[in-house]
Amino acid sequence: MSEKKLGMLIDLSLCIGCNACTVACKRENDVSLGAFNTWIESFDVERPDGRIARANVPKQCNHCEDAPCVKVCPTNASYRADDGTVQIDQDKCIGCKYCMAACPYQVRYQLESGEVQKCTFCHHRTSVGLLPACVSTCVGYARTFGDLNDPESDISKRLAEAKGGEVLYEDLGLHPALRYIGLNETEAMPVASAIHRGGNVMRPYEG
Amino acid sequence: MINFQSSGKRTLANLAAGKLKIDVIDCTLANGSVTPTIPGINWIPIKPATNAAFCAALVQKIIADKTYDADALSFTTQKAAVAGGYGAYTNATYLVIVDEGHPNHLKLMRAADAGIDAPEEKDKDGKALDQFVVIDAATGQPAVHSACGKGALEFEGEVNGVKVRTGFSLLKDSVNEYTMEEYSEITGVSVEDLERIAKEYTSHGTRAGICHKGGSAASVNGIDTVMGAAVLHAIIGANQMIGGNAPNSPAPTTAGNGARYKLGTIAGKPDVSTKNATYISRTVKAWEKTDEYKNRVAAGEKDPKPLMPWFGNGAASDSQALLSIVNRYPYQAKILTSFMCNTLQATPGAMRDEVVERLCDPEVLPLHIVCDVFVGEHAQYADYIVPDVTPYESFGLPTTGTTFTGYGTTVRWQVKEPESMLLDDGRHASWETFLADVAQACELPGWGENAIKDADGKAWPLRDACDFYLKAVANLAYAEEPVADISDEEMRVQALDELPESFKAAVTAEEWPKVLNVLSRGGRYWPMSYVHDADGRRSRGFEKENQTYYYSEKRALNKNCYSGKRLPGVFGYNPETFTDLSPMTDHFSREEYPFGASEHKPRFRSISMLSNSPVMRDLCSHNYIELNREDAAALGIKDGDKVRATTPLGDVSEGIAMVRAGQTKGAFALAFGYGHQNYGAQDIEVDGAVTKGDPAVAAGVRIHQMLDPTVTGVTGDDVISIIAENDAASPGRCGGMFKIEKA
Repeated sequence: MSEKKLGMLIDLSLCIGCNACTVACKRENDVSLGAFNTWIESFDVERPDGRIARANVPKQCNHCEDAPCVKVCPTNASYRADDGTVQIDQDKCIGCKYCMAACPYQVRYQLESGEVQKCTFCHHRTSVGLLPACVSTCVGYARTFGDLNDPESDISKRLAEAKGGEVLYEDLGLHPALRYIGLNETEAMPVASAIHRGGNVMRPYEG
Repeated sequence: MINFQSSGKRTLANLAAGKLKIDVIDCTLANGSVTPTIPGINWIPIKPATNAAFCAALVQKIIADKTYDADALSFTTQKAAVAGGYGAYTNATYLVIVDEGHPNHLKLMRAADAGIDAPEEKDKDGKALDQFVVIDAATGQPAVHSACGKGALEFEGEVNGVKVRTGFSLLKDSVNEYTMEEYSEITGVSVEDLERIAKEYTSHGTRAGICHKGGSAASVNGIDTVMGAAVLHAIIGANQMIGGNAPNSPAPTTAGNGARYKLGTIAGKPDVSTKNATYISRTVKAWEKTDEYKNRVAAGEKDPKPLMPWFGNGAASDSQALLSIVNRYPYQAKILTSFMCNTLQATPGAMRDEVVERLCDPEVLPLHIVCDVFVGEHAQYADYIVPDVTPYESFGLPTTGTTFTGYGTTVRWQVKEPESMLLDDGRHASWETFLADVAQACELPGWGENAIKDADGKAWPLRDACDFYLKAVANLAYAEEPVADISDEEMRVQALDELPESFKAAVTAEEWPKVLNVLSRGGRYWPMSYVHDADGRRSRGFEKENQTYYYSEKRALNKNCYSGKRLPGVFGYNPETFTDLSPMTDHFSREEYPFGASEHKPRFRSISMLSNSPVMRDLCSHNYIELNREDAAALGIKDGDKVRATTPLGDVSEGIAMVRAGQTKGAFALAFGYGHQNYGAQDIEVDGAVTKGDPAVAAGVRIHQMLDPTVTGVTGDDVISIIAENDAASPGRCGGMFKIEKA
């Protein structure tokens, strides 16, 4: 296995919730209606100074180093590729949905034809030197992508400044390749609206 | 507007770097840059239709603290301002006649009023220039404005026996009509924030500004917001200054009389203007200046009232035109042609059965032709629909607004063959081909053979879009220094050698490789030095006349055609009124109808469009009635409840509640562009073939504003009129009076 480990860093202070990434991803990966490889969860929060702000948290496959989906897959359809990403071999997928149940981030979905899909970090683009569609379209440069093992990569430099960044569900110890800046700070703020996935209600506001 | 991609990029980068501070004054937290963890930006909730009160509070504080730029305000001419290092001046020092008995009461004082015998000055067209009177700051004596560099800001007294005051002194009174506490109560913005923002705004020299778009003035009292922002820009001398209020994206002449083609000159153009004709929208002309008024007075009527309001200070208005058409006043429209617009849906309060019925009645409107890609609400009721082309099938040289701050412009061009019907002569149906063919049939000038003259006087035909727009591209390619010819390799790589012959034929053989150069780059952009100058001003155009009205004579003299009331010539906070300038709260109870309304740009739609996009509907199936969580709790409304907002006249907007902290108290909001009736929601039959509609297109809610009860059914039994701005004529989109309850 090569030393490469592709990862993504999202600076939440720069995400304006425009959902350009969501649309670019849908077009690039021909994601079916009702399904998303990446999406943004948006909600009002109370800042520590008492003012209200709008949080936008992009979500997608975390490409975990210790990926539960890979572990439970009975046919090895889900696997870790040489570049450190988690991929699905559609020919081997039998649609058993174990991986969907095992993923703590709930990023996998089943196609009508039975196979399971999720974000590939745009493997078809990154393998030829392009950036993932969500990164290249990002309005605020909130997303950075690259080799986490290369200290000279943009992502490594930005992570070094951000003291390694933060991850979702750190306590699970899955070592995700999806890192955030400002996640803990944002999550510490009281939520003051429904949580919207795009513009649709994901969790209503209880008040 | 920070949601626009390129302005979002710049804003975020500068906020993150600590180089920028922003207060977002908005009814709804809809501005993406107010993220929880970015420094330097605050969302300040404000109640709809109170932006002028916010501006007035700031001006009051700035004047009280004397933190205004007295130099910038005192210049009496552009020349003096430019010599002083600025790029603009104001009329703050000009004297206003406040003597009620004087024939020129409310007008700015002229040399003749002051008994000053000043030599006449003429502009470049030979027209005599107004000679306003100021108190010369150097001598303390009255003087013609052009005869001194600076005037006294504060003066109240007599000149030539006439009572006068400076605009600045009148403004001071106007903004002091309410206390800071009252402004806070009106706007919902705390006194602390009002004072903090006033201080911050005046702490950066000329490098501060107010970025406000049309929506901020989309209420019946909207002009005060526009005037307030103008006063605030000038109060720190920020006009034409980089980092202040410099215009976005200046560009060379393209679609006018440019370097290669005289596209702005039409030989034989009919002499029709507002001087000899009347807009159907009842704008630009004051009621007293209309033939109807004069005829009725001549017939012995005393103080006649019009059937519908006239707006002497308003520009052409599609909303007012629509209502004029359905009311057949001031005259009947015989043919209405509409292009790429949805006026019916975009006019608050107009999309209702009574209006639609009349729009469809041939007695009211004999012929209605729409050219569009979609059968939207407006197009649905047309007699004929001419298929149009989409953005990728059309041309344009849009001034780029917020997307590009430098000198230059983008170019949109037909990158694919249009899907619209192919005509026998090889052209595709579009707005341009429709116009060209109708013009030819009617033998109108400016179209067909010999329509366009080039710089050498040679005549060219205008039969299709490319005939016009590629000449505009040639003007761009030859502006300043001509661009280089495109290289053969670039032409091949971009397949520009495969463009239609009609494109090539639209310009000369010499121009074609330069036109291709511009097309290949999607426009032309000059270095930033064409815009930014080292001395802090914009580098071009700052010498040109740029005056801010601290006192608007036009507004002060605008007599309401129903009540005869006048609004002051200086800005201030004027509560919402109906057309006759009577306060809304004189007619209906604020206790019973406590909520205002506002609309904001949709994140998952584009103005009235994109509800037909499955991806956009997937991202957001409908909009919401957004309510502050405290208001919702008081009303017993929970997030996700179906709720109803009702006007005193019974207009109902019904939708799903979004209960949130990101909405101001005392008002509800919704994203514009939802709540369609047509636009693909309806079945459409063309020549017997039915295309089934998709009800999902119609999802969501739009605001149903009330009609104006001082005009509708009052001035004539069947008159329908919308609530509107007294000066601008623009519809009262935001504000109004509503009660909200669970549906």
